[in-house]
Amino acid sequence: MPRLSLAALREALKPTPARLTAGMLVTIAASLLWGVAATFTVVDRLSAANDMVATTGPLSLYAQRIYQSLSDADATEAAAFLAVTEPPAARAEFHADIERAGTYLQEVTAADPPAAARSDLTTLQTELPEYTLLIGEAKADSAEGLPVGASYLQEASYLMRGRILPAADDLYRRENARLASSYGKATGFPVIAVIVAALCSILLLRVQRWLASRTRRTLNRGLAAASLVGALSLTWLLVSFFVASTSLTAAHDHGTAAAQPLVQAEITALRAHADESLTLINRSGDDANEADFRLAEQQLGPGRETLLSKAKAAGIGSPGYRRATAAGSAATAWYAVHRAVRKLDDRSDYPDAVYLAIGSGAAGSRAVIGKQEALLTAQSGPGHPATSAAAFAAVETDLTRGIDADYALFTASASRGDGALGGVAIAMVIASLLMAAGCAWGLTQRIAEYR
Amino acid sequence: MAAIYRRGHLTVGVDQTTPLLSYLDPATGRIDGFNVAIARQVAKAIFGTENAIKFVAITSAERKSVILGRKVDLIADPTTIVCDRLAWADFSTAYLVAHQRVLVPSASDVRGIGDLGGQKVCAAAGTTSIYEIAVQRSHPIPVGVPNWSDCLALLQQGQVAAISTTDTVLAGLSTQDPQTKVVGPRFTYEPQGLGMPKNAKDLVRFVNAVLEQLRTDGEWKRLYARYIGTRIQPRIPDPPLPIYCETSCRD
Repeated sequence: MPRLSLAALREALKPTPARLTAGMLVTIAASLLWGVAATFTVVDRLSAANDMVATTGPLSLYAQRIYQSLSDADATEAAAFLAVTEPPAARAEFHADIERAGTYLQEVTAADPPAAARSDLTTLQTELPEYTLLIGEAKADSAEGLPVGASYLQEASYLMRGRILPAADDLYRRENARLASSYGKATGFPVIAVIVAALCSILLLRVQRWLASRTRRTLNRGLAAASLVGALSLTWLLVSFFVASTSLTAAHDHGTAAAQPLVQAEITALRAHADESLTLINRSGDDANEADFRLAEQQLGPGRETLLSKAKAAGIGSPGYRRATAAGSAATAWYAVHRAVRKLDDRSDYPDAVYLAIGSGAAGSRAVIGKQEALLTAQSGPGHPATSAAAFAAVETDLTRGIDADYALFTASASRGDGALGGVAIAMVIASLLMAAGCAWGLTQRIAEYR
Repeated sequence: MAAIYRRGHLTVGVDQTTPLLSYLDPATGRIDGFNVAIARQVAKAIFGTENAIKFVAITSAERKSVILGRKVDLIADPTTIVCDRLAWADFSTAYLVAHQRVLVPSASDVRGIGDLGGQKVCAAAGTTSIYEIAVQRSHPIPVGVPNWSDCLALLQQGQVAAISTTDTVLAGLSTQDPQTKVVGPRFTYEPQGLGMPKNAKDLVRFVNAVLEQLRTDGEWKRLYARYIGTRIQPRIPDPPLPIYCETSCRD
């Protein structure tokens, strides 16, 4: 039994053939190690990029849709209630909102959410039926002319704003965080692969120099070929990573990241729209809902440090940029109509205020409306929106289209990035096998010379 | 008074959730009821038309702030004339006398406020009713909400055992739900008046004169019959007698 020690190893490797055999084994091992490291790195990235395209990206979109549909349901219902007899379009929109939220909720639940998101999903699943029940009761009572309907609507709105929307907001944030984490994994610098590549190339070069000093041949073809294949495979890996990162970064920067402030802006606009209706339903002048409208207006902008200005800043180079800019001027026009509504209501011209807000219901006097409309034309030029609801709809359309365009860019760019990594893993496996074969061939020839 | 006349309309704070007295009719979008009709009579006496009136919907708890902030000329929300309130408002003579009782689901075996110990009983915040619930010897648990119809929604969902306030408000709530009943003895005496800002003596005097007119010419009884009828008592009552002195409140 030979003693296992460094000295013993040196002794064993004194004869040249033994050294050559050891060199062969080490270079083959290095080739295979590079293969393993490169393949794992590629597979890891590919799975992160696949996640972005197939899982975390769509889930972030679904969570956004849930949040948006529920906010829209709340605002639609409040406006419909104000209209005394619910317009059929509002009824259809409300049902579509609830249905859409339900469908996306199922998608998110089916996608095996992390434990932290599960409590949000439970809240949404249990409170949503309760909400629709309260809305149903509110509508049934109002249809019968019972004032208690307003109380059910109020309760439903509290439930929506106090429990359901916060859960939807939290879910959206969590899904976005998951997307950010897969984005990080898919685009980081491949540190381990590069370190392994550096070690392997140092080793291959040293073996070749030693060999050159021992023999008269300066070039060992096998080892040289292995080095060349190694260099090529590293280049392929880095180039494909660079191409993929470029697309994935575009997907992130001009897609989901650009959409995020637009999503916040849309939710805030919907909240303010519901506030306007609730203020009028309460009929008590400038109440807490009106205060919340003003707060939402400040958050939304357009002004410095507002959601719309953030959306513009984040949207440079994104398809949603133009929409964010348009939403800014639409929002300013909307605020002007809202002020006019509040002015009418504060003067206790209630029916006129409702008419200017939603464009239906019995206007008290056409004269008052005409005067307000003339005032609005003077303020914001001809072609201003005729009602606050229409002015809001213009803002919402801009925001929705901006969000959709950004998400479309995300999907296209992320798929492109994902595609750039296709076939790289198998190429790494083949390259490392070729390298190992080269090392084996190159050194076996030298060993054979000693027989 | 002169300011009101120049403005061209009377601004009145009302509840919009109590049928019979003052409520928003969801079918027409109009506010109507006995209290509203009385307020319209005041507008008619000033301007010659009862339509020279604008309404501000308020909750019971908001009565004090709209009076102090002068957002309204008077409040026609069902308001009991109590001494506390004389600190921030002046009142007309009583135009209605009501008594606190209890509203429960038809299936309930509660027979009055005495049976409601330890149970949740609803009333609007900022009212004498919620105070009365809190001081009952049976110790019910008072639950305060912004509007009277909120109490009905809670009762229908089984979140409170009963609603307790004046028989006039209860009668209005029960018209919205036949599955309820008013039970138990009357345990308060509540003269209700129109509230006005302090230092508007001319308006108070004017309103009192209008009320006196309604009492004597039979209009009061006609309005009572039209809006409240026999839902509270089998006969249309006589209008409450006016008491003009400053001590016409109760503690």
